[in-house]
Amino acid sequence: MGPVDFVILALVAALLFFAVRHAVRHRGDSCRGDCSRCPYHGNCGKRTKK
Amino acid sequence: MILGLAGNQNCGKTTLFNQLTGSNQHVGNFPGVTVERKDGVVRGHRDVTVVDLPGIYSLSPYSSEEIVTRDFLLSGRPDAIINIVDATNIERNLYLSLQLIELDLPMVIALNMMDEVRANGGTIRIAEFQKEIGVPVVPISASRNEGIAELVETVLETASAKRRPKRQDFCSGAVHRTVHSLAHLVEDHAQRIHVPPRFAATKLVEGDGPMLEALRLSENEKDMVRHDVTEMERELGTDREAALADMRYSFIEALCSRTVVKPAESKEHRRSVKLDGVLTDKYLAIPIFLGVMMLVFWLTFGVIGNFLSDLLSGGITAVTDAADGALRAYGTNPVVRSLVIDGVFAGVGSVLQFLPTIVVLFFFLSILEDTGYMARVAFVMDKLLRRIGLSGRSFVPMLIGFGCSVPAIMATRTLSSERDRKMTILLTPFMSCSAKLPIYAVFTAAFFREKAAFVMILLYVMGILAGIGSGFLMRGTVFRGNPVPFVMELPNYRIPSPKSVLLLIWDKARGFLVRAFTVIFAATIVIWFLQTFDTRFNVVSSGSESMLAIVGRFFAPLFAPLGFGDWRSSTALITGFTAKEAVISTLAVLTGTDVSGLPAALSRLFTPLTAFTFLTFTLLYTPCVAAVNAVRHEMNSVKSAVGVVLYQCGFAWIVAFLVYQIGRLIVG
Repeated sequence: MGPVDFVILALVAALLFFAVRHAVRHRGDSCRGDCSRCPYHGNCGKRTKK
Repeated sequence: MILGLAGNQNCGKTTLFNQLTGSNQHVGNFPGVTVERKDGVVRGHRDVTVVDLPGIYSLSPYSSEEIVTRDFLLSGRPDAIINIVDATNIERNLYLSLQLIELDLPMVIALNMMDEVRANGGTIRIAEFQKEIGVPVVPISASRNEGIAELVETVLETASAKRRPKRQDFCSGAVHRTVHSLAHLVEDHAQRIHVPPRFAATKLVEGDGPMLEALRLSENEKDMVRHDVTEMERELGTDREAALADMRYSFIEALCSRTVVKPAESKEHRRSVKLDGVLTDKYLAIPIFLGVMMLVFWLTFGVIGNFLSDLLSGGITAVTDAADGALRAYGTNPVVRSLVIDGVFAGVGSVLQFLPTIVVLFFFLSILEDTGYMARVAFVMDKLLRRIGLSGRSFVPMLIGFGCSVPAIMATRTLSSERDRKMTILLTPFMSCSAKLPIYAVFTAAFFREKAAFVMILLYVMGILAGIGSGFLMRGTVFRGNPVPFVMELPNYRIPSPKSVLLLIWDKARGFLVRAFTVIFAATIVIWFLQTFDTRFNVVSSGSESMLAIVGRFFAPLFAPLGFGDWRSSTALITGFTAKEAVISTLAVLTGTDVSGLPAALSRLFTPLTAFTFLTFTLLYTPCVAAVNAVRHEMNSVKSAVGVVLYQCGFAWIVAFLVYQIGRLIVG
């Protein structure tokens, strides 16, 4: 494997890391569904105390 | 000091709450139920808290919202009630007001949307209105922040002086006599449980079970209640509920005739009434709805969406070829090249090509929603849904389910009763979500190209029929009982707002793209890895020797009776649990093809019959992990979520089996 291969692998690994991190961090956020009829419209992503 | 903010739905209550409290809000739940509770401190009055009560139409104990509001007002005994009334629909709103007055708590009526009343040429004689109804009345416009300061001043003054309503008796004749008689009868019992005797009496006349139980009357007293109510019904020639409703509305009508100058009926309203004459007609409504949906599907899958998807697919193929060429030119390692081209580009690209289809579908659906037509459909569906034990209110979450099951399941919080809510949660996943569209689109392109729109419609109808069938089953078993009465607003028809349509499309597209580049991207990499290496992490010469094939072959026999026992199709279905679009990206990776070659690759794995069986299974089996999590959260039960998964997988297997076996008999 040459340097280009390692660069590509590193890039894919980084993208994978950010993709998984985004999915995990935002798992409680908007479900990316239809917000217009959602009773929680405008509150997605807000952490409120119970 | 605690104030309760009560009113109908869609009367501007939340807007008023936000004006009163600003950002000083706290969101939680009423204890024991999933009904949301919002508290806030009134701006400029740190010791005054206002509680935003759920939007309700009466204080009857049918729904969680009504029970929660009643309990709060009776047990919590707020210092005052702010009853917000939509002045543009004053008669309907005052029905609740009269019941609130019977609670004998300090109360102020906030007449909202007065700006609209004035703009339409109407007016309300506030002083006279106030004198007749017996509580202070303050005209406001919450959206324009008009009258709010005066409202706060009036409420605080009323609460401090503990000024109770000046009148509570709005009835005459037989109803009047019966209510008074019962109020005297139950006075001691009512005072024991801190309920105003008149309120208790009217609830007894209505046949309110929880109130009867709470009063703990003797058998003799119960007999007297029954006797008085029966006499009243006989004298009036109507049932008890209608008698009370007539009484209240008679008062409201008389009050409004003396104090409300009605605006001229707007031309939008006249137009809406004319259109409703056709669109909600007893015989025409459902055929029209089916026709509209068929048109939407034909335009989406047969014409516009298909054309745009083909264009995008061509673009993705060109980019993939260019990337492949560049990687070859640089002499990259074949495995690394395979990761990029056969993994990332093939997997993510196979899903991305359907962005136009999804955008076009939601473009049309949002137009229908924005015009006000979908509200009519919910009304029309009420009669049909009652046959499976639900009301038209359940139609809205189910309609959202055609987009995504997650917000649909969350939207069931708007349903009146716990029974209706749970049943709707369990049936909503049968409404085919948009994540399954890429699967349908690829398979119809491969096997049913000439009849693509027809097959799509057939699949959606099958999903709906499966939901109906399950509804009948549940109605007779775990969800016995009747749905609650259904009341809803029918807004005027209007030209769709380009801004809200575009915002929805952007929201949908952005969500799809984020999902494609996160969840689908990650799933694709994992699938590529598992199918490229064996258990010793050596590169395999054939996918059938890979780690993924071992897993796939374990599950493949389950699907053999359905006609698609190949390990690749069973593996694709399993990855569909993470995200339904992953079924396509997995098939692309496992068949070693790109976007354009996938239909041809699938025709080597399936026949038209087994393709349709596969589609049937995909339509009906478990929703994705996000939807299952939403079920778990809303039902507050892991057992329910597991039950949904098992039920749907079992149901899907049985139906797909029947489709395949019957298909074999027909096709041969």
